[in-house]
Order: sequence, then C-alpha cells, then structure tokens
Amino acid sequence: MSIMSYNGGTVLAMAGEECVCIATDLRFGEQMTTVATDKKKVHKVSDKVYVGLAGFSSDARTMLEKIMFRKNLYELRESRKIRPKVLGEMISNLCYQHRFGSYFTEPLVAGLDPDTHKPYICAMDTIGCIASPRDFVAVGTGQEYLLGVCESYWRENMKADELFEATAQSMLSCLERDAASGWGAVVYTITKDKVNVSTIKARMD
Amino acid sequence: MACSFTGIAKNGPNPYSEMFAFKAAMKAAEAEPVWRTSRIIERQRWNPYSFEGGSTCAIAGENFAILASDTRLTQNDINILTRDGEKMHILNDSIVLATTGFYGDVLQLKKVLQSRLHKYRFDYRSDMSVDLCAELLSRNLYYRRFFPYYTGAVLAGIDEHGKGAVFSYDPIGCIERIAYSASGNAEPMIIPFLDCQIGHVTLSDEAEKPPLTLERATSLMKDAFRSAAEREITTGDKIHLIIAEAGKPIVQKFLPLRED
Amino acid sequence: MMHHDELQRTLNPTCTGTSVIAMQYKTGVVVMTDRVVSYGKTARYKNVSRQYKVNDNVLVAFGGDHADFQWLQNVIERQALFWKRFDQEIGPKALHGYLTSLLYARRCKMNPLWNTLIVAGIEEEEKNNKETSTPFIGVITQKGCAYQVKHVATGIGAMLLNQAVEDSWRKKGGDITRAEAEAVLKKALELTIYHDCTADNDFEIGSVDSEDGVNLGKEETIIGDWSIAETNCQYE
Repeated sequence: MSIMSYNGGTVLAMAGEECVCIATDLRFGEQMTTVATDKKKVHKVSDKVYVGLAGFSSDARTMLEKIMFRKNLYELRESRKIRPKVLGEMISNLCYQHRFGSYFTEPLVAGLDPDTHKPYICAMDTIGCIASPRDFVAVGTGQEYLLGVCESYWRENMKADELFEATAQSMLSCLERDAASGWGAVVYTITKDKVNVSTIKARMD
Repeated sequence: MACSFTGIAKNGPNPYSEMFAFKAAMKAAEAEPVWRTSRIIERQRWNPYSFEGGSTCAIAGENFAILASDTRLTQNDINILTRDGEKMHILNDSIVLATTGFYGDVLQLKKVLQSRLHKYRFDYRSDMSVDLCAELLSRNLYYRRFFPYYTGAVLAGIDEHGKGAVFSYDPIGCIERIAYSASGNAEPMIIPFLDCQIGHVTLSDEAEKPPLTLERATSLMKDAFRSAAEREITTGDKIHLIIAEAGKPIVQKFLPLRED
Repeated sequence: MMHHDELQRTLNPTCTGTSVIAMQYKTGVVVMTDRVVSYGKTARYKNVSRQYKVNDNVLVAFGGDHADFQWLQNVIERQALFWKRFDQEIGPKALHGYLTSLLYARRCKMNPLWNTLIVAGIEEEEKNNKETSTPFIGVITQKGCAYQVKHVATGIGAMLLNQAVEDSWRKKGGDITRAEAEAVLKKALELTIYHDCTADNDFEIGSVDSEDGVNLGKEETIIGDWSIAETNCQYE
C-alpha cells in the first residue's frame, strides 16, 4: 500500500459565482483500521482562505505548520490579508523546496480574493505542480471517484446554495465507494459575507 | 536391472543413476545459470497481457436492460488502435456481454460463450436464459483461475420473468447480480454517479425518488460516458448503446463522444 | 522456474520488419511495406518482401520478427491447401480468424509469435457483388488482440502515422480512389523514413482489388525532401 493511502482521506473544492466550497471527509485510519472519526483535513488559513491537506497525516500536519508560519510572516510584513492565489504559489514553492524528499501530502487551496471576491481553487501534487481550473479540484484517496461525479454535477456560475448541494452530493457519492474515506463530511461554503460550515452524515463506515 | 549381464559390478556405484544425476544437474545449470541475476530474469519475463482500455456500463430496469461502452481500443494507454472497436457482443436475443481489459481474452471469452450457447441451442432447441449464461460465464472465468482471462465482464439481458438483469464479474469469476454495474478504466468515475442517480444512496430515506424509466436510464448512461470521456483518456470516440426490452428485439445505437 | 525459455522461444525478436500501412479504397485494399529487415538498428537484409500472397483474394503483410513470419507463411500455405482440398479458397475473414486463434493460442503457451499481422482482402461473394464490394483489413497484434479497420499503420507507424492516415481518409469522407490511397501511403512512407531509423526508402505497394485480384507491387524508391538537413546542426 502506498504511503499516500496509508491514512486515507479526501478533499474536494468547487468554485461558483463569488463563492467556493471546500469539503473534507472525517476518517483517519491506519491502512485498514479506522483510528479516529473526527479528523478534518481542511484548515482555515485566513478569513476566506482554506487549505486542504490529503495524504500522509504526519506530513500534512508538518506542512500545515510551515504554511501557517509563512502565511503569518507574509501578513505581518505586508499588513494585509493573503490572497488565495498567493497562498497557492507559496505552498507550491514550499513543496518544491523538498523536491527530492517530498512531504507525502497533496495540498489544495480554496478561497475568495479578499478584495474582489473572485473565487480561486487549486490543487497540486506532492512536489507543488499547481493545477488551477475554473471548475473543481479533488485530492486524496477518493480523487477518481470525485472527478467522475463532479464532471456531471458542476455547472457554470452556481450560487452558494447550488454549489453546496453539488459539493455535498459529489462528496457523498464518493464516500459511498471509497473505503479509505468516510465517517461523514464537513463542507465549508465560503461567500463574501460569511463562511457556512455544515457537517453532513454519510456512510458511517 | 540388467547389469549382471554386462559385467558391471553389482555393488559399485550404478553408472546409470550417476549419468542421470549428471544430466539433471546439467539441465538445471543450463536453465538457471548462476550469472542470471533476478533482475535479468525479471526483464526477460514476457508479459502475456496487454490492456486496451475503455469502459463499459450496464443498468437493469423493471423490464429492460441497457448497456453502453465506448468504442476506442488503445495501446499503452496513449495510442489509439481503432476508433470502432467492439467491446459489447450480442450473444442471443436476450443476452449481451460487455467486457473490457485484455482484448485477446475478450475475443476468446466471446468465442467460448458463443460456442457453448450454440451447443445449448442444438441440444435443447431453445436459447439459453441470461441466468444460466451468467453462471456459465462465471465458471468459464474460474476455469482459468491460475492464468486468468484479464477481463472485467458485465453480462446483461432479460431474464425468464421478463425482468432486466445485470451480472458483474471480477477477472476470476466472482459473480453478483446487481442493479447497475460498470467496468474498465472509468469504472471509479461512473459507479459513484450511478450510485447517486439510480441507487439514491445520497438521498435521505424520506426524499422522493424518481422511478427508473428507460428514457432516464438512457440519458444517465450518456451523461456517465460523457463525463468519463472528459477525464479518462482511454475512453472516447463513440458510445455504443444496446437496449434490450422484454418482448422486443435488441436495439443498437452509436452516439458521438470526444475523440481526443 | 525458467526452462531454457530464452533459447527456445521468441521472447525477444531478432530480425525485424517495421511499420505496415494499409488503406481501403472503394473496391479494394492497398498495403505498403518497406523492403528491409533490420537486426536491431542495422539494415541487415535488403530487398526482402514483407507481404505474402495467399490466393487471389487475400494478402498478408507483417511487422515484427522475420523468422516467425517465414514460418507463418508456411502455416498459411498449409491452411490454404487444406481449404483447397474442399475446392474452396480461404477468404480474408476466415484467415484473419484462424491467425487470431493461432497467435492467441501461442501467447497462452507463453510462446508467442512476435508479429503484428495485417490481413487484407475481399470476400469471394463481395467480389462478385459490384454494388457493395466491401474490402477487408484485419489487424492482429502479437498477443492475439484482433480488430478490423478501414486504414491502419502498425509498429512505429502506429505512433507516427495513424493520425496522418486517418486525417486524409476523413478529408475524402472515406470515398477514396486507388490512386488517392496510394498517394496517401507514399506520403506516409515519406514520414516514416524521416522519423523511423529502421524504415527504408525502398518499398512496395501490394493490392487486393475486386477486379484485378492480388498484386504484389513492384519495388519502388522515394527520396523525399532533405533540404531541411542543411539547417540541422546536430551533425556535421
């Protein structure tokens, strides 16, 4: 079994019109054993910027600490909130610094630009190759399952409630089939006024 | 032995057994020379399988079964052999076999099933039913347990009671009758979509669930393949659609799909 | 456990032929092969035909191990004679099916024939039916994976030429004359001699036509346009 699927877990982000959704499952496992059922892989980095870290959990945690350190330094120096695109580039840079001994985690960034409220989503591989499409990105053990359903559910310019529905349905369908993810999901719907966090029940196994 | 007649001493070492032992040792050394490291052996081993990619999918309804596959055959996942490959085979008026995997095995499996069905027709003067054929296929796959047919088979059709039937297999003959199934490279993309739309696994128990009509199944099938073709490189070119309805002849259709 | 495998089985090809390119036209098939057999990257044997005439309806062309093909020619001849005993001529579909089973059976014995075969021809009844007269091209890969096509390029040509051949096929909407088909094949060969180091500019175009039957083409040569070599600085 690959180290990338040792702990399991899936993160998905979808973009809409002036809103983005980022969803995570809650399982934390060690290969076939489920160890914890409340492990969020999505972390708040700034007001409207969230980062998801799928893959090997220890590396994800180290990575998160490094990300927070750099992001804090950036915001102190610049005296302004970090933009999601900048954060994406920063994480990519961080990943590539470990090109020949990489952290086994695939980061995903989702957020709104603090000034223009333009949605931004991106995912990268373990060494920081950014993919930033306009529709959706997924990382983790359930990636393939997600890409199939998202392709069917995503539409242009979805409003926040539609976007939430599409994200939740995609995530639920994925959790139905991916044995390494599960135990419910948390969906963060980021709009310019607020961030809505909803926990949804899925296949609880 | 006849040693006593040739004048060879009975009690001494037997020259015959010595000769055989020497020959055996020679043969072993020839077959496994010491300079052949495990890496060389691995490199020289020839892989009897190849993978021609693509996907198939089947849905069973109350009185119908619908199957779809793409028509692309690929080599090494990147090179298109043909855009009009046939992954689905109509075995008789109520049975269709859809397979992906190693196309050589697919052809052989089809041929074996066809000849068995032909013999059944000769012996019993009627066509085999899909349930029987499903069991037959399972056993044929398991017969090659230790040199498997590398195929993801889906068998579908109309059973004796006029109901739609879909049987799903693994390469060595594990069989299950289910409501819908997919196999091939885009299986992980198609299956969750059908879980959501046909299995309604993501809806709450109280929610209203639309019945599965033939029209709905057909359009779901098209959606499934169109989204699979967006993301999966070995799936594309054309959707081959086969619709089997109880009491009606089998209908075939071809629909365009992305060709890149 | 290995048993003299590498000595008694073709687990690596020795002398090989490269691409085969074939295309249907309205009443027949044209098949092009170059006339060289390579030993690795050495052009070992020149002026060797890689096509075999089975009878007046069927032509087989090959890529891959030459020794295996020579043996196959013998097998095909015997099969054709077997049909003759019943006063029949073997047709392209039957031969395609037979060779598919043969190649598949050999791969199942882990003793493969290292060939990609193109069976081109016209069925006898199609030949007499001037309305439909549909020609046949069947491909069989080394492991017994078989399919039918309207046009094909195998070997390195599968990577280099398939799309080029297909584009010109589609441009004509599939309704193509023999001269046009030959022109496409010659253009395709020009592309292979630029890119495939084991391809040769000596070639032949065999054909199966509903009227003329099978003709093994005469030896031809093309030079191509090498003016670009002047600007290539990677060699002296």
